[in-house]
Parts: sequence; C-alpha cells; structure tokens
Amino acid sequence: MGADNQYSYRTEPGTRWVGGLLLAVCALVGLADAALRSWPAAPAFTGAGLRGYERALEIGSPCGKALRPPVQTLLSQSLGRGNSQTVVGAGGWLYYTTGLRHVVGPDVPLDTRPGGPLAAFASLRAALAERDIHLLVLSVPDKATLCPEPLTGRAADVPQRNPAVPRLWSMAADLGVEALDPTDLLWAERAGGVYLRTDTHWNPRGMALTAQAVADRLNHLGWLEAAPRTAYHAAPEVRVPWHGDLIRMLGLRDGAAWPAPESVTLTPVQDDQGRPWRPGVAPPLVVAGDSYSDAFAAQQAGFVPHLALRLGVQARWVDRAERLLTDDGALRGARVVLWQIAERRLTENQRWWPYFPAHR
Amino acid sequence: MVFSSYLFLFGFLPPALAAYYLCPPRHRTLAMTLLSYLFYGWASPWFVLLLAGTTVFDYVAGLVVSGRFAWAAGDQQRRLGVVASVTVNLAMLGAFKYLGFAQENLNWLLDALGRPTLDVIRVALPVGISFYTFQSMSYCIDIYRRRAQPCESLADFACYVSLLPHLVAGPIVRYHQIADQLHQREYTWARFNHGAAFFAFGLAKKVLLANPMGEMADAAWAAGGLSAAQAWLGAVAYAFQIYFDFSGYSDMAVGLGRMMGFELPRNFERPYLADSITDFWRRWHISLSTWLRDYLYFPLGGNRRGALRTYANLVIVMLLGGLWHGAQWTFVAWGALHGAALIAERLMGRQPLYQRAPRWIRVSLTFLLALLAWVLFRSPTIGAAGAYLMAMAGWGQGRPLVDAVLRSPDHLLALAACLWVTWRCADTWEALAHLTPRRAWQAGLLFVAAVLVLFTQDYSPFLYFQF
Repeated sequence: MGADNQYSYRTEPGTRWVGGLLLAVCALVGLADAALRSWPAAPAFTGAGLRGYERALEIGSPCGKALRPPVQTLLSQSLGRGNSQTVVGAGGWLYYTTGLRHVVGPDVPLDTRPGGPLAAFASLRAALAERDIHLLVLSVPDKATLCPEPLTGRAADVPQRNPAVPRLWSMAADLGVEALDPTDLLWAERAGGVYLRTDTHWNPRGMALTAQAVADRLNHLGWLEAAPRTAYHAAPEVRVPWHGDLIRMLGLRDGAAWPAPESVTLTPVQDDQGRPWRPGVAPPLVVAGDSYSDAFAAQQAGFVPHLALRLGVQARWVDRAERLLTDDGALRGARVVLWQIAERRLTENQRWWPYFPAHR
Repeated sequence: MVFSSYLFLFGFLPPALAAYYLCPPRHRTLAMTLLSYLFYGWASPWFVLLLAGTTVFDYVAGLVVSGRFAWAAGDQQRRLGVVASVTVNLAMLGAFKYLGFAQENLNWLLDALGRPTLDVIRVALPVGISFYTFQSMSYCIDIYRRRAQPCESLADFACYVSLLPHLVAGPIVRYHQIADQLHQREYTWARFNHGAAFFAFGLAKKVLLANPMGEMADAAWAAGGLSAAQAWLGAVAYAFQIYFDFSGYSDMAVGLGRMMGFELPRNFERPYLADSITDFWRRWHISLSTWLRDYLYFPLGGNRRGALRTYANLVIVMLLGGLWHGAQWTFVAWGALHGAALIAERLMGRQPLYQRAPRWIRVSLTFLLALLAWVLFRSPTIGAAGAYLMAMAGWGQGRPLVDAVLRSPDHLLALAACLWVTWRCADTWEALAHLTPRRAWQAGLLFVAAVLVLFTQDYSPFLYFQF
C-alpha cells in the first residue's frame, strides 16, 4: 500500500454478505436480461452510436420493464415523482415536461431570421399567397398554461404563459400573418374541462371549442366563402376509455390502477350519407397539424373532421407543414391552409422550424 | 458508461469482476488494464488511442527523466524529459479543451477591432482527459524531483494511468500512492465487502440525492424568471447536486478499487462542514487541490516569497484551478472568487473573516460563500450568473409554475435528506471505517433502493465527466 494510504478499516462478523448481495443483484439482473431480452442491432463504433446502444439496452431491459411500473407508481403516487418526460401534479394529473419547460422557460426568440417561428410563418404565408392560398396559424396553449392548479396547489387567476408568446403573435401580425391564439377562450371555458388528465393533449371539449373558434375566424375572414360546400353531421356520442400518452411516458402500463382510469366522450363526424367522415381528395381546407390535430382521429372525432363539420367544407390533414410545398397534390383545391402547432414548439427546438423560400 | 448506469452495473461489473478474479494474480494488473481500456473505449472509442499514446509517451519520458537512456548529460536529459512530458500533456489538454475557447476570445477581440474573425475549431473533448493528463504529468515530475521511482513495466504504468475506478473522474492519484499496489495487492473477502459497502453508499448518493437535486437545479437554471425563494432553492439544490454527484462517484471509485484490491485516496472530507474557505479547500476535491498545491503553488514559491507573492500565487492557482474545470469564463470567475476569499482569510491571519462567531455561524457563512460561487460555476455565461444572482437578491420575475419542480414532494424530501446527510450524518469514510452489521444493512438497503430507483431514471452522467 502506498505511503499516503494509511486507511484502516474494521469489519465485524455478520457483515460479509454485502459484497455477495451486490454481486448477486448485478449478476442476476444481467443474466436474466441477457436470457430474456431481444437484442438491439449492433451499434456504430462511435461514442454516439455506443451511447444509443446503451440506452436501447436499458430501455429494453426485461427486468427494467418488470420493475419500472411498480416502482414508478409507488414514487409517483406517494411522492409526486415524475421522470424526464413527465411531471406529476396533484390528483393524478400528468404534464409533459417539455410543455412545462416552455411555459416557465426562457422567452420565445423574437427574431425574424430563417430558422425561427416568425420566419417560418411569414415565408409560408408568402409561398402560399403565390398560389392564391390563405394561411391561418393556430397555436394550442400548453396544458400547464390552462390547468396549473394541480402543479402548484394554488388557484390561478390568469393563464400561466411564457410572457413572450403574446409579443410573438403581435410581431407575426405585423408581418401580415393571420394567427389565432385560443388561450383566453380556453381559459374562460376551462371549468368544464379542456385538457385530458393523463394526456398531453386537449380533451374533446377543448378540441371542439378550438374548432369552433377557428371556424368563426375563417367565416369572419371570408376565405372559404366561394368554396364548395359539403354537409356533415354529428353522429351520436360514444364514450371510450382513454389511456393517456403521459402514462406510457411515465413508464406505467395502460390500465394501471393509478392514475385513476379516464374516459372520453367523442362526437364522431359523418357525411350526409351517414358514412364516417373521410378526408377530402382536393379539399379547400388543408390542416398542417401535429398530434393535437391527430387526437381522436381514429374515431373520426378529431380536430379536422370537427372543422369540416363546422365549416361545411371538405378538409384533409398533413402531419408536417414542409410537405405542403413538396408533396405532389398536397395543395390541390386548397384555398386555406391552417397551420396548427403546439405552443411549446415555439421554444422547444429552434431547428424544428422550416423555412419556405419564395418562388419555389 | 458511468458507474450508475444500467450497462455498467448489470452488463459490465459482474463479468469484469469474474474475469479479474479468474485471472491468476500475476496477470491481474494486465487484466485490470484491459478492462479499463474496454470501459474507456465505450465512452469514446477512438480516444483510446490518445490514452494509449499518452501512456507510452509518459512512460518513455519517465525513463528519460530517470536517466535510463544515457544519451546526454544527466541533468540535461532529466530536464528534457520532464519538460517534454509537461509540454505534451499541456499541449494535448490545450488542443482538446481550450483551443475553441481561445479562438472565441480572439474572435471577440478581432471583432472589437473591426478585423475579420476566425472559424472556431470545435474538437470533441475526450472523457477524463483533465484527470489522466494530470496523473501522467505528475508521474514524470515526481521522478524528476526524485520523489518516485520510474515504473519498471509499461503494463504497470498503463494500469496506473487507465485504472478503471478513477480513470474518467478521479480522484487524481499520484504514482507513488499506488506504485506498490501495482505489484502487490491484498485480496480478502472482508476488503471486498468493504468496497461493496462503499460502492453502495456512493451509488445511493448519486441516484437518491444528486439526481433529484440536479432536476431541481436544472429547472431553476432553465427558467425564464425566478423569485428570490426559487433562485435560492435552485442554488442550494445545485450545491448538493455537485457535492453528492462527485463525492458519490468518488465513493464508488474507492469501493470499486477496494473490491479489486486497490486503495484510492479520499477526495472529500465533509466540505460543507468547513468553517472557512481555506478549510473548504482542505475538504473539497482533495486530490485536485493537493495536486495544484504540489505542482503549481509550491513551484511558484508558495508562501515563502512574501505576502504579495503569496497572494499572487493563490490567485494564479485558483484561476487555473477554475479553468481546469472547463473552458469558460464562469469557471475562471469561480476560481477568482475563491482566490479572493482565500486572500481575505490570509489577510486576517488565515482565519475566516467571521472568526469570532460561533462555529455554526462560521460553517453557515462558508456554505453561503461556496453557494454564491457555485452560481458562477453552474451558469453558462457570466451574464446568466449575474441574472441568477440578481434573482437571488429579489430582482427577478418569478414564474409560479417553476415550483411544480422545485417544490414537488419528492424533491423537497430529497432536499431534506441532503441537509440531514450533509450536516447530521457521518461521511462514507467515517461511517464505514468500522463496518458493523447495522452499516452493512444500511449499505444493502441503499443499494437495492438505488437500483430500483435507477430503473425509473433517465441517463444522467456524472457532472465531473465534462471536466
């Protein structure tokens, strides 16, 4: 032993199982996982490749899959512990960490250079204007903005917003971008519920309120006045159990006892023949939207059918705004493009924003 | 791969221990070296070559310094060897760690002068380079000073430089501290158990205390606005995060070393019980502070050349110590703040400014000073640190929802545990100096709890990996 290492330690009988325990736990988990797992593809021989492989091994660990739900339930239920993707509020309310980070985070960047939201809105507006198509931007406020009480335990008088967002919409208006921010509307209606308790997304009521607000705005603007009409009807309501995406993000299984199970009442949309709503082939309204636009779509009760119902026009959904100008026929028949974004996108990842150069 | 990761605990550690102990004792140093290279290669595969190159270079330099090759006059050859080692190690550190920083600052100057700026070269930082270059360098310096004998075998020296437990985040081990152990180690089940208990305590510090504190600190620093209470809570959380993260890693390193027959030095001695900043530096990251003392402060003259020179030396050491942590002005400012506090205490006769106060007040004020300095350390820029300090002073605009993370029940419980462990509990070294059945149970339960909680946490590398 070296000269500086004058460490002494004593052990008492009855302590010699610690090393065995450590070895046994590590070896048993390792062996069980090796025997039961499906192995991910071999990694690239780079630091990032190896780290990705390590993460895949960890996520795919059979022992982890078995242990994670009960441990996470215990921690979340008793101590309100979330994980990197999920923040746990009171009463089993779950929140998407990225959304909360947007609400409390640094101000939204307010410059108009390509790569940011303002340039994306303005450039898409200009590119669509060349094709005689109007653009309406719709931002959906985060759950933490509209339902903050379970997070703080205190009543809130006003929506909890990133303070730069209203300024950003004001700048967008100066650039000629028509935008709809339904925060105040949804805040006023929140007593009846506008968000799902265990999901990142709005509930059918919040979605329908927003669809009505968009329809009102488009009717006011008159952009679809000359569009061919199609009649749609609201079908009888159906009640379905709902397994929120945040439950899975928290590492729990669908149908877990905690958080309490949730269900939603959906209003499917039908055409005048009583057939389930279907996207139009060359519709006057194209919605470029994210998962908010896709919620309840499987039951034909999502945002796009409800817009079609309220406006009496055909509509279709594309998942990314970039596809509007690159996919053949994406804008065939279109008179209005509604670009729906989750407000958190404004700060989430600046590289996410596309730019649409003129004269493409 | 970090010690608290799934892959290390369940995929690497059991087979590595099995392979190590299945080797005949005379081959275990080589086995340890190979395992260490495998461990390091997982973090940064191509930088293994850099580690190997440094090792070979410093091994040869050590032989040159020791006079093994008689191709020049003795002293000249010795000096050449040590200068070459120091130059190459610092150049390597500079190229990988400080080149971009230097270019950015040069660009700032060029921009101010209205001259065209340079393209900044971005180089990936090899994990642990700050630690192993310091070790390699100190080896040659110690031989030059005749405080250590040159290593007889390249395999032994490679084991010293790459020793898995301390390779990527210390403690910084001097060659003479470990030279004998490279040839002869004692393997007993009692020692293995002791190491396992150390490892369990360290893992628990990391997983159960440091990680939740890190979540709080990250939330505070990511917020667009903070009230004074939120800012203080975030700063305290960071103070605990960095302590339990690094001391937890050091405990795991010591434990792992002991499980494999090596004794590593103590790196922390309850630093938040320090009653002055001078005392703090006797207790915080001891292997770095003693390294800087022996290889920088003393060669600069230490305190033997008058008061002014002593103060200048202190400032140089603390500034460079700050810069060692990373190429950012915030680290330099952190070092400067500590240096100023050390000078102030020396001016008062090596006593804290508040020497007449009761001990608990001295400890509290020292913690407060360290806490304010941590704000500089944690912030990405000096401006951000200033804004954070302003928020602590009550000039911030708090956002209520930050409390969703800062005041969640799990985080408040973890914070209470940190306070209790820091000021009311024995440190791992004291607690495990005598491994009683009670401590063994504590270690066992903490290990199982940490492993269970680990499955619910995402990847979170040690803070000191980035340094």
